[in-house]
Amino acid sequence: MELKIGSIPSFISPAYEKRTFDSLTLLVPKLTSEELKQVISHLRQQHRKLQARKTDEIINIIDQAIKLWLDPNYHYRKLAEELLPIVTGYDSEMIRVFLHSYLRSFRKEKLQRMLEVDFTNPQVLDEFRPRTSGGLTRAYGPDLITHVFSGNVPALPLWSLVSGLLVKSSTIGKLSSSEPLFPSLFVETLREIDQELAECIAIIWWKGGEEELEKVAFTSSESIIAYGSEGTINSIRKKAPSHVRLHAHGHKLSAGFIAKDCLQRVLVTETARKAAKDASQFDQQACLSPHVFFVEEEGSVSVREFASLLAQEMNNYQVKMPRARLTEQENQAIIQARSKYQFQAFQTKEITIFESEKSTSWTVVYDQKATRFPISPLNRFVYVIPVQSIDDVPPFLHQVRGFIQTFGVACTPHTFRSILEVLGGCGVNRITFLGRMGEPEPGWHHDGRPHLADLVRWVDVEASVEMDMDAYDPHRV
Amino acid sequence: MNLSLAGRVCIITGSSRGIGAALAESFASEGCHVVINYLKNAEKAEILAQSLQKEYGVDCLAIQADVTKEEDVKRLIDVVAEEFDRIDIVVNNALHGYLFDPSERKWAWEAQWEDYQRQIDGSLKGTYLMCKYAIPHMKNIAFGRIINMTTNLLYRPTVPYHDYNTAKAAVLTYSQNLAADIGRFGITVNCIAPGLVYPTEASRLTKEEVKSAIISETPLGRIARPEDITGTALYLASNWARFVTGQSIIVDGGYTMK
Amino acid sequence: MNYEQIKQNILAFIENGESDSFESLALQVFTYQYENNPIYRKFCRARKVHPSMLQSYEQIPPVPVGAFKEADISCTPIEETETYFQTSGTTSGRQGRNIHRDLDVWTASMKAHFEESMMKEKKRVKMAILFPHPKEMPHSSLAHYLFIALRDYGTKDSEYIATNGDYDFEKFVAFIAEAEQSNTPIYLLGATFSFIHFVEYMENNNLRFQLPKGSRVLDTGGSKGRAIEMSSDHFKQMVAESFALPKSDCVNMYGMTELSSQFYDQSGEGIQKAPNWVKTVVINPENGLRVQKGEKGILVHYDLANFHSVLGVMTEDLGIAENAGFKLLGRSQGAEAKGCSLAVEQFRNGVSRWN
Repeated sequence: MELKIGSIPSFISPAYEKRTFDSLTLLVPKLTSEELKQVISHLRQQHRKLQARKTDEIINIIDQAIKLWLDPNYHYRKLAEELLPIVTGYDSEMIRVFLHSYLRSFRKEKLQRMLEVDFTNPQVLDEFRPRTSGGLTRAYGPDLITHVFSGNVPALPLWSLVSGLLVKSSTIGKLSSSEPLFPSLFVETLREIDQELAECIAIIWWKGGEEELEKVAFTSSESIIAYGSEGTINSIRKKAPSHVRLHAHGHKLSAGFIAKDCLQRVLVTETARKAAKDASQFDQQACLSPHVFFVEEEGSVSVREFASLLAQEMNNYQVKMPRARLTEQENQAIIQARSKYQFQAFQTKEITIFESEKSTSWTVVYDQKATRFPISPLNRFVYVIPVQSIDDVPPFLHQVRGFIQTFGVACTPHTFRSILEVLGGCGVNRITFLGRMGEPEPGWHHDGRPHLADLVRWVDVEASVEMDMDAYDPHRV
Repeated sequence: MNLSLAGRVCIITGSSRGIGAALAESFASEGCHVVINYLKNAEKAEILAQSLQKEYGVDCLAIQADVTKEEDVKRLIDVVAEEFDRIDIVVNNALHGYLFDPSERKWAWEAQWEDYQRQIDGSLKGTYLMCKYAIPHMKNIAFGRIINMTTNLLYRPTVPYHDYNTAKAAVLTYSQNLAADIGRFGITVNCIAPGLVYPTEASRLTKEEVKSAIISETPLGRIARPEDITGTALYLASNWARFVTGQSIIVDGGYTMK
Repeated sequence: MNYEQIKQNILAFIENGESDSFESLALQVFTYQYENNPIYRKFCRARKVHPSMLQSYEQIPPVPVGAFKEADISCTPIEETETYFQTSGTTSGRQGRNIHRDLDVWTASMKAHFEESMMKEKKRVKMAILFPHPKEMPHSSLAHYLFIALRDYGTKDSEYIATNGDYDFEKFVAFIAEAEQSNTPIYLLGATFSFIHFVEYMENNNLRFQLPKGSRVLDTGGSKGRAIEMSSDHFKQMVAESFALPKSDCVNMYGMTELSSQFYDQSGEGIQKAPNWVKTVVINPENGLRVQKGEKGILVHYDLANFHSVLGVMTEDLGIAENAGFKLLGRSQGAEAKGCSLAVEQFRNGVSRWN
C-alpha cells in the first residue's frame, strides 16, 4: 500500500520521498529550499488571518476534530489504527486503547483548562486586556513555529501542534522518520472542518541535519519546539539564530516509587499490574516511561516477591499486547544487560533476574546492591530497587539531576505529602499515581515549563498611555 | 512439540518405587533433571537415579528425606537449590505406608484418631512442608508447577478408607487454596486423582475380585498401571497446561466421572 | 574426559584437524566445560541446557562478552592457573578477564593461524611492533600475541617501537628508512590507532615511504572510541597509500581477549577468515537462533582453543556469515532508542561532558 502524506499549500508540487514500513510505503513531501521559502511566505500571510480569530473559535475547531477522531468509525481514525502498528511496530491493541484515552485529553474542556492553567485571563490572546496593576496587556504567540516532531509514541506531536494553534501561530511540522503518519492525518481532519486553519499548517519532511532546509526553517521561525536526543537538540541549537527561541525537549528519565502500604495483601497484585503497565506501555520508549521502581521494604510482601509479581504482570501484558520487534542492536543491548545481572546473580543473593523465556520481551532485575540510578536498555526492561523509605531515593536522583522527569508513585493519604516533598526537591517535575505515567494531564508542565505561557511574548501597555493620552484628546473639555 | 520441560528441575517425593518411580522416569525422559526422594530405600533410589542418568543423560539426584519432618524437607530443598540453582516442578507423591486391602480396612467406628493423624501427617503435612520450602525458589524464577497426588476415592469412596481418603481430601482443598494464593507468581498447583494402580507396593494385597469389580465398571476396561498416571503429570507440568491451576484430574479409566 | 585428554585432542585438531570432527570435539569440550566451569554450568542450567540434550555445537549456549566483566568464567580456579588476559575495559570502565590454566593451546592456536595467514614464505621477517612489550602489559592478550610473533617469526633485529607507554616515532622512521635502503621486507604490526597516529605524524613531517616488496602491515583493534574514528576500508586505503603497499598486504586481525584464536582479513573486502577450529554463527539476538544465510545478525564465535573458559562467546559485533569466516559490519552500539527516553550511551556521554 502506498499513501501520500504531509500537508503543503496546493500551489506547490514538491518531490516526494518514499519511507517504507514493511508492506506500507509512505510518501513524504521533501521540499527544495526555494519551495520551503514559498511555503513560509504563504504561512506568514495565513498567520495574519489566524491572528484575527478568537481563541475560542480555534478551540471549537480542534474540539470538532477530536470528536471525529473519538468515533471509532471515523475514516482517518480507522486508517490510523490500521497503519500505525505497521509504522511503529507497536501492538495494535495498545495503540487503539492509547489513542482513545489520549485523544480525550484534547476535548474542549481540556483545552480550556490548558489555557486557564497558563493565563489568568485567556482573553489576553485575543485582545489587549486591562491589568489589575493598571494599563493593558496582550500575549502574542510566535508568528511561525517550527516543530521537530518525535516518533517514539504515536500521536505525541499533537501536544505541540495544538499548543501552537492555541497561541495562534503558523506551523511548520517536520515529521519524524519513524512515525510520520499521525500529524498528517490530523491536519487533514482540520482541513475537513476549517480550510483556513489548515492553511496555517505545513507538514513536511527532511532528513535531520539537512543544512539548507534547516537553515531556512529555523531562521524564519520565531520559535522552535524540538523533541529528540542530545545530539539532535545540540545541532538545532547551533543552527538557530540567537533571537529564535528554542523549546527543547531532550531525552529524559522517569521512575517510580512504591510505598510499603501499597504492598498490602489484597492490593499488591493491582500495584504490580499498574507498575507493569507503566513499564510496558510504548515499550518504554517515552520519556515518561520508568526505568526503575524504588520499592519500600517491610510491606506485607518482600520487595523481591514484588519483583516476582511484577514479572508475572509484565508477562501478562506481553501476552495481551506484545512488544514491538526490535533491531539487532536493541536486542543485543537487552542481552548484554541481562547477562551482566545474571552473572552477578550467580554470585550473590542480592540480585535476582526475572526474564521472558526464549525471547527478550520483558525483564525485571531485582537489585539490592544498586547504588546508582540504573539506566534501562528499554523495551520493557525494568529495575526494582528496595529502599527503607523515600529518603533513600534522593541520592539516586542526584546522579541524574537535570534528566529526571516523571515519577509514578503508589502511596496512601498518610504518606503522600512527604513523598511529594522529597521528589519535588530532587528535580522531578511530574508526579502521577502508578499506572498513569504514560498519560499526562492537559496543562502539565512538560519538563517543568509552562506549555503555552512559554511560547508567547507579552506586550504591556502601561497605565501612562491611558492617563496621558487624555491630555491630547481633541474632545477634551 | 514445545512441552517446555527439557532442562527443568523436578523433585518427586517418594519416588524410589511405584508411581513415584514411574513419574521420575517420565520426567527424565522429557529431559528434566530429576530429584528422587526416598525415605528408606536408598539402594533402589540410587539404582533408579543412575539408570535414569544413563538412559536419558539428565542429572539425577537421590536424596533421603522424611517429608513429614520439617528439618528433612528444608535440607532436601537446600541441597537441590545448591546443586541446581532452581526448582521448577514438585510432585508430592509420598505417603505414609498404606495397604489398600478392602477386606482388611477398618470400620468407621474402629478408626482411631491416630490413624487419621498418621495419614494427615503423611499426605497433608508432607505436601505442605514441600510447598513451604519450594515456593520461595519458584518465586525467584516467576515459574513453578506443583502437582499433588490424591485419589479418585475423594469423589466416589467405593472403599471408604476413612483416614486415607480424608487426608487426601485435605490435600485437594489445600491445593486449591495454594493455587489461589500463588498464581500471581506464575506458579500453578494441580492434583491428580488416580484410581487403583496395580502393581504397586501399596496395592499388592488388593484381591482379584476387587480388581474384577473395578474393571467391570471402568469404561477403558482395565486397572491402571503406574505408567498410566505419568502422562497427566507431564501435561500439568508442561507448557500446554500453563493456564490450568487449582484443578484435580481423575485418572482412572473413566471409573469416576464428575 | 579429563583435562589432559581434552587438551591433546584440541592440539591434535589444531595441527591437522579435519572439519568433520569439529562437531564432536566441540560437544566434548562443552561437556568438559559444563562439568568444570561452575558459573558456566549455572548459566547453562538457567537456560535449561544440558550436554546430553545437544546434537549440534550451535546449541551450545554462548556467553555474552559482557559477562567476563562480572565473573571469572573459568574451568580452573584462578590460583591454579598460569595467567589471565584482561580486557581493556574502554567502554564501561570494568575489566573482564579470560583465565588460562596454561597457554599451550592458546599459543598453538595463535601460531598455527599466524603461520597460515602471515608466514607463507616460512622465513623469519624483520618486524616492528607498535605496541608495548608484555613486560609492560603482562595481561594484555595483544601484547602477548605480538610478542610471540616477534619471538618466533621475527629476525633478531626486530624491534619494539613503544616503550614506557609512548611511541618512539623517530625510531620507527629510522627503522623503516633502514629497510627501504637495504631493501629488506619488513612487517609492521600493531594497534590500529597507533598506525593512524603514525600516518598523521608522517603528514605533519612530510614523510613518504615505499616499503620493500614482501612487506606487510598488520593492524588490530579498530579505531572505535578513539580520537579519530575511521572505517576499516578507509583505514586500509590510507595505510596502503602511506606505505605504498598493495591492499592485500595490509592485513587486519580480529581478536578478542575473551577468545583464544584470531581471524585475519587479507581480502581487502572486510572478510575475516577463521581458522578451522573456530566456527562463527550469526544469530538473531531476539531468540538466539541462527539467521538465514546472508542475513546480518550478532556474531557468535565457537572457538575450540578457548577451552579454559567457554568455547561459545557472543560478541557485540554485527556481521554476516561468509565461507570460513564472516564479514564485520561494525559494533552493535548500546542501541539508540527510537524515542525520547534516554539511552544509556547518550546519558553517559552527557554526564562525561560535565565531569
